[in-house]
Formats: sequence, C-alpha cells, structure tokens
Amino acid sequence: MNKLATPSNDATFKSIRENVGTAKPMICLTLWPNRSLSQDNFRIFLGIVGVLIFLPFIPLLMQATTAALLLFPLATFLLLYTAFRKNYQDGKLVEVLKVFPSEISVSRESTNGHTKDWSANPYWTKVKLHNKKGLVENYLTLSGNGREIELGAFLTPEERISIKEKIDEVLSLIRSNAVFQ
Amino acid sequence: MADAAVELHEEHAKSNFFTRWFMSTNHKDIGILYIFTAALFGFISVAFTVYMRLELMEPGVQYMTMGGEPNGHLWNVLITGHGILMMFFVVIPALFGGFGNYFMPLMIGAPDMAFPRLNNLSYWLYVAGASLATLSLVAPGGNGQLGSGVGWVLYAPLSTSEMGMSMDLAIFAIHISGASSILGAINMITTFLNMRAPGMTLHKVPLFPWSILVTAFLILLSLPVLAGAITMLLTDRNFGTTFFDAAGGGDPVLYQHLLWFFGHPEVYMIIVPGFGIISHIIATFSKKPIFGYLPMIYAMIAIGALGFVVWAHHMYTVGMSVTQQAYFMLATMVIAVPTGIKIFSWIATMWGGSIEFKTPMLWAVGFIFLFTVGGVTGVVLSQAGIDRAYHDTYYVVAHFHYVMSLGAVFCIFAAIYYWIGKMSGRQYPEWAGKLHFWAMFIGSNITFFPQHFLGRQGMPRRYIDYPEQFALWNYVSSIGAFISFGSFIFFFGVVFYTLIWGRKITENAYWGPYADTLEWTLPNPPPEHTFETLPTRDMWDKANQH
Repeated sequence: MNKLATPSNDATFKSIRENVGTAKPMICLTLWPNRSLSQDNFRIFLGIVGVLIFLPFIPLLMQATTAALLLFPLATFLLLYTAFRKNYQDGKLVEVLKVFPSEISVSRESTNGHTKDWSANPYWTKVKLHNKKGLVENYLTLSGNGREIELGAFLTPEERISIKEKIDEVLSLIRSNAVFQ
Repeated sequence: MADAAVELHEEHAKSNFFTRWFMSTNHKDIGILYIFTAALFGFISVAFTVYMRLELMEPGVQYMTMGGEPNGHLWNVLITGHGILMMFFVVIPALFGGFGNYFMPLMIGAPDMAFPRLNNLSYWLYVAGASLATLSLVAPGGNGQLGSGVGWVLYAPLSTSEMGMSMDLAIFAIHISGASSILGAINMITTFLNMRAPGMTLHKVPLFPWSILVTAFLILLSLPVLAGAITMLLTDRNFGTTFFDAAGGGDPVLYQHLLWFFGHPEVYMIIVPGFGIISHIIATFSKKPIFGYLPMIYAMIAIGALGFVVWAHHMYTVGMSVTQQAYFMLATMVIAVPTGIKIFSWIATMWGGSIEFKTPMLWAVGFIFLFTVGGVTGVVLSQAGIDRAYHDTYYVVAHFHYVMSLGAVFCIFAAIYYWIGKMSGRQYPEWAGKLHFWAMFIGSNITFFPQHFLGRQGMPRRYIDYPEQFALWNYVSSIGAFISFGSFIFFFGVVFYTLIWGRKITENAYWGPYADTLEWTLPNPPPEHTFETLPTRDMWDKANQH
C-alpha cells in the first residue's frame, strides 16, 4: 500500500497553526512505494517455508553423505530470502516533505542509501499536476529555488491529487499570513 | 533530488528485434517466448508419439527396426524423450512460464515481475535445459546406440548402469530445468506477495494468480528433492558412490521415493495453473461471477498440500507394508474432495448462466469432462489391491493422459484461444477454433479411451510389440492419434493465420463484462510497459458491478 505517513495527516488549520513558532513542521509527509507484504507477515512466511522445505530432508540426515544434499533446499531457501530482501530494498525509496512557515523542503533517500535534498521559499513555490502523454497520470512537481522536482511519482494518481491538495492548503495559509495571526 | 521529467521522456525507447526477443526483461515478451518455445518442443515430443502409434498400429514391428530386427532401444528412447520433454519442457513452461509470466503480473496490477533480469535468466536456462534434453536423444547412449532409454523417471539401477553420455546429458537437462523453475518460482512468489495493487488483499486476488502462486510453492518445495536425487544418480554413475546400488549398501527404492516425492507434486504443477485459467473462462462465458471463490482458492492449496503426502501410490508394488499402502490409499482418495469442490464449483458457475459456447468455453467444458474421467480412473488406481492388476498397464497410460494430455493440454489451448486477441491484437476465426476443438476432442478420446480396455486386457506399457489379442484397440488408438496430430497441425495454421491476417480487435474487454480482471482494462496488445501508474480499486474490484 502506498503510504502517507503524516504526523499532521488529518490536520486541520487549527493543528497546523499549533506548530507555528515551534521547531515542528506545519506539515510532514513521508512517502514510499507500495509493498503488499508487511515485514511481519514476511517473517511468518519465511518461517513456514523454512519448515516445509527442510522437512523431507530429515530422513537423509542420518548419513553425512546424504546430509550434503541439504545444499539444495538451503540454496533455494537463501535465494528466496535474498529475493525478498532485494525486493524490499528496491522499494526503499523514501521522500519526506516538510513545510515550515519560511521553508519547504523535500528529502529523497534512494535505494542505494544516497540522500538528496531540495528546499525553497514556500511563498514562491509552485505546486503543479501534469497530465502529458508519456508521463505518469497526475505527475506532481514542485518548483522553486531554480529547480522543478517530482514528488510521489511512484504513488497512485489519486494519492498525488490528495498530496497536492494538502500542500496547497498549507501554502495558502502561509501566503495569506493566516498562520502568523 | 529527482528533477521533474516533464519535458524529458515522451515515449519509452523502442527496442529492435534482437534486443526485444533475445535480451528481453519484459514479462509479456518472456511469456510469449515461453509459449513459442514450449510449442516447438511440444511438436517434437508429439511427433515422437505419432511415430510410436504408427508402430503400434499393427502387431509386429514394422518401422522401428535395425538390420531387420526390432529396435527396442529406439522405442525406449522415444518413450523417454516424450516423457522428459512433456513433463519438464512443454506443459509447465507453457502454463506456468508462458501464461503465468504474461498474465499474473497484469492481473495483480504489477508493472512487471519483481526481478525482470532473473526472469530472462530463467527463460534461457529453460532453453538450455530443453536443448540438452533434445541433444541427449542423439548422444551416445545404451546398447551401443544413440539416446537414453530408461524412461522419464530415470529409475535406478537402469539409469546408473546405462552406458554413454546420453543419460548424463538428460540428468543435466533436468538439473538446469530445475534451476530455471526454482528461479522462476521465487520470482513469481515475490511478485505475487509483494507487488499486488494497493488494496488487493489475498482474498481479492483473481484465481489465475492464485493458481500460479500454488504452483510456484510446489516447485519451490519439491524441486530441491529432485535435484538431490538426480545428483545422487550422477555421483553413482560417475564417482563410484552406491546410493542406489544394493551391492554397495544402497537402496534403489530410495530413488523411487525421492523421485515420486517430486513427481506427484509435478502432476499438480502441470494442472493447477490450468485450474486458474478454466475458472476465468467458465465465469466469462457463463456471464456469472465464479461460484465459490474462496473454496476454489483453498481447494487449490489443499490439492497442493495433499500432493506432497501421497507419492508412494506410484509404487505400491515395490514391497511396502500393508499399513503404508493403506495410508497412501486413504491419503490419495482424500484428494478427490478438493478436486470435487473445484469441479462442482465450475458446474455451479455454469448453472443458470447465459452460456456462450465460444471456442475457449468449448475447451474449458471439454477439460472439465475429460479431467473428471481421468480423476475417476485415478480413484480406481489409488486402490493398492486393484493397482496390482493395473500397475504398468495401458490403464495407467490412459489415466495419466486423460489428466495431463486431455487435461493440461486442453487448458493450454483454452488459454490460447481466450487470450490470443489480448496478446496479439488479432482474433482467430471462430469456425477454425471450433474445428480444432472438435477434431482434438474426438481424436484424443479415440486415442486414449480404448487404452483403458487394453489395460484391462493386461497389455503392459513401454513395449514395442504386442500379441494379436490387443490388435483391435491398438488400431483404433492409432487412428485417434493421427486425427489428434492432424488437429495439432491445423492449430499451428490457425495461430499463423491469426497473427498475420486475423481480424483486428480494438475493444479492451472483447469477451464482455465478465472478463473483468485487470488485463481486460488494457489495449490489445497491451503496451510494452503496463501499470507504471498503479491501478486503482475500481479497475479490478468488480464484484459489486455484476
């Protein structure tokens, strides 16, 4: 499931205002790609497969020579484990959006662990949805500080719309100076 | 930071013929490659059987002779080649590798397989394995001739003592095929469990992806055992070990246990993907949602699980205790329960439906009838007492061909006619599909039904010749084989015509609203890249709309 982990996810204007003047961002969104098997369920799955795959080899453990055949289920089991770990690693793309009264920032941690940051003045930042051929539906970008960056390209189109609405909401508050009153 | 790509990529780069078909990492292309390769090896394997049926048409040995004498070795090589190719390189690659690769990711809304390059590796390992298996037919083998004639089960001590490198090549072929299948299974399991569309919980997944998951688990849990067993064969042959040699303290029956621990789940690896396909076709052409969705899923899981605890019903005659035989009889009969759930659910889906007998539906209904016949003779053979009489007779040959030749192969044809328009963008002529069906249905029944009579008369399997008493039904059976082969050739013509001149179809869900899984939301053929934007729930959750 695509996640929208937001400390102020269902934040009203009131709760956004409460963060003004503190070190907390007015809004913080953490986005990551969809993975349909949770880590907990993965551990259960691995346990079940582990038991089932080694079960038929138990009678062969009586002799050292036949026990060497454990190599095959062991290799299969390790391959399965490695495949899932790699798949989780491939999905370890995290984007964190934070909006403060004087700064909007996006931090993107890619699958190789590298982090890239972008920040701009929220007063001048443009939030835009694109629907051009060749792009994902409702492609979401933020422009400011001389750059245009993408946000949540791995989410569903509906999720990108809801993110845009949330950012627009906060930026309009900042621009109207409502939060400073 | 990822800069926006608003102006950067308008279209994905087009790949040329070589990169598309030889270096493909696209699940749809790899699926098509599996289907075509399986068709090629299927043709070779079926050609063997036509030659064998020609030989069996009359008593005496007319064609397979050497120096005027019957050439039993050639007969054994053809039997072995037919079995190995069909079991490892035709049916599973077509259903699991071909349709599984193409449609499982589409049905769960995944953009591709979890590991596209691994998918490519699986395919080419399969090609290498199939090539080695074919080469083993013409490599120096036993009896100073070419090829290996020990049967697809590679029973020791015949397989450990046969001369020449043919047997080693066949064992390597199965090793490589096993590696390919295990890698493919891991890829399928990871894709299914981790890459389903948002909101698609396990009990929302269509039945075909479920059938692929069950098959992948069967492969994952049973193939390491086969790999161990055939490695022991190799070391017995080449390094002086005696795992299966009683003279050295080994036990040839151990090989049979290990082989059938893999071999019985293998039967379900072949047929379970077909269960998934048939469910979709029956629902589509009955214009009703599938009856008993959850029981259908758990029946497949139960069949898969029970498949691991019944292996020794293939070897009642090796000297097991009465208690062991009683257990394997009982466990085997229990499989009829989940299988019955599936058969009755398909019938219940059709019940009261507005059934349209298009070609895929004909194949599906034909499958249900014939698989049930094969299942019933399976219950007969599960009885250890009766098996004493039927063991290694043509009754067994008839039984497993009804399940696999008329079961799994009918599923392959059903799937091709159901999805060829989706895969190619062109549709077959309906009359041609129906002609193919009726010729195949009649031909294969004429081939295999009389073999029940031959088995009951006591005709043993795997023999090049037979006494006069068995002549009539062998003659009839051979006529049926020629009709079936003719329909098979006709089928290749239908596919060729469809791909070149077939009517173009533009409607996404051209079979109507009950073809409601995610592949039917895509154009014909689907674009190279699909579901890069994840599908939304309203695209796949159609339960309330019917």
